Amino acid sequence: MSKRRQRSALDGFTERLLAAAVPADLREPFVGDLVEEADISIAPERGVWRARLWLWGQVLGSLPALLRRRDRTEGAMDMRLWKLIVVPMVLLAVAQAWDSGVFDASPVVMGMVLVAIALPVAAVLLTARLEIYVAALVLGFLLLLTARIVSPEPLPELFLVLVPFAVLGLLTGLQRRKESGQSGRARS
Amino acid sequence: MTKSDRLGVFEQLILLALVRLGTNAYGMTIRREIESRTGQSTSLGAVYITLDRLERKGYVRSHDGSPAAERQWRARRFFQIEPPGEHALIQALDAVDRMRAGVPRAGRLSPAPEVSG
Repeated sequence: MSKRRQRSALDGFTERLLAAAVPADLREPFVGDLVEEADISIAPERGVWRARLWLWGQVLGSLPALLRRRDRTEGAMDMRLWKLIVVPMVLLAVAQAWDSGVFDASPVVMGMVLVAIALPVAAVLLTARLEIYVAALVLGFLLLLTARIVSPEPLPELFLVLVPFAVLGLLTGLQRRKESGQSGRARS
Repeated sequence: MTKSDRLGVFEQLILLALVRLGTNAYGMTIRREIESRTGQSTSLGAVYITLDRLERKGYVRSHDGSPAAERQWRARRFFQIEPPGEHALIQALDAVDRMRAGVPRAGRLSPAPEVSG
């Protein structure tokens, strides 16, 4: 095995990269095809290094499409639920911002609060990944914190702006945990 | 026929490769078939993503073979065209044939100049 691996065009780094980037259901046939073509067809004729270059070209050319496919199928948030509640959530957040006196504050503070509301919405629309959504929420929270500090007005209960988004993130996380527990039990 | 039923050019190439390769159609052979016949370099990822889309439409089906030593004990995934895929492919090729009828071959698309005398 070790001799075969030494002569293979697929090195450990590329294998780990592929394991991270290729959707789980495509991983075995996809990596197997790359190995077969590089090691059996290209390496004997043109050498292992040319085979490695070819393999890297294939990996780089394939990554964008594979990552898009992985984001759609693995770790994606439930877009049906999201589409149903996104408009009421944004309206609720804007109403809370209004109630906190954000629209009477300076344009900079108002801008920060509006960006804090837009961040989680944009994160879901662009990636649908829970990790990115949570990162956007944290960034939004920091923006609200900054707005609260720099604003001369008190802006009461400003953090309630992000509560509906945080609840959705929590529910999605719990659902994910439940699903991964079920699939783990099914595998065992 | 809805918009989602229409086949793109690459989808047509993939389905034609499946027809040509028969029982030996898997990622590597499909990619090589398209590359060698069209002269266009093709990424394996694009082949797999397109096959995945065609499978979800019900146009192809797949089954996994046995793990093979030359693939470091990874299995091949073989693909086969299904009747709805054949139907969609025939419709797409017929549409191209109808559009091409009467048009000179590429490289001579503009009408030939008239020769006087």
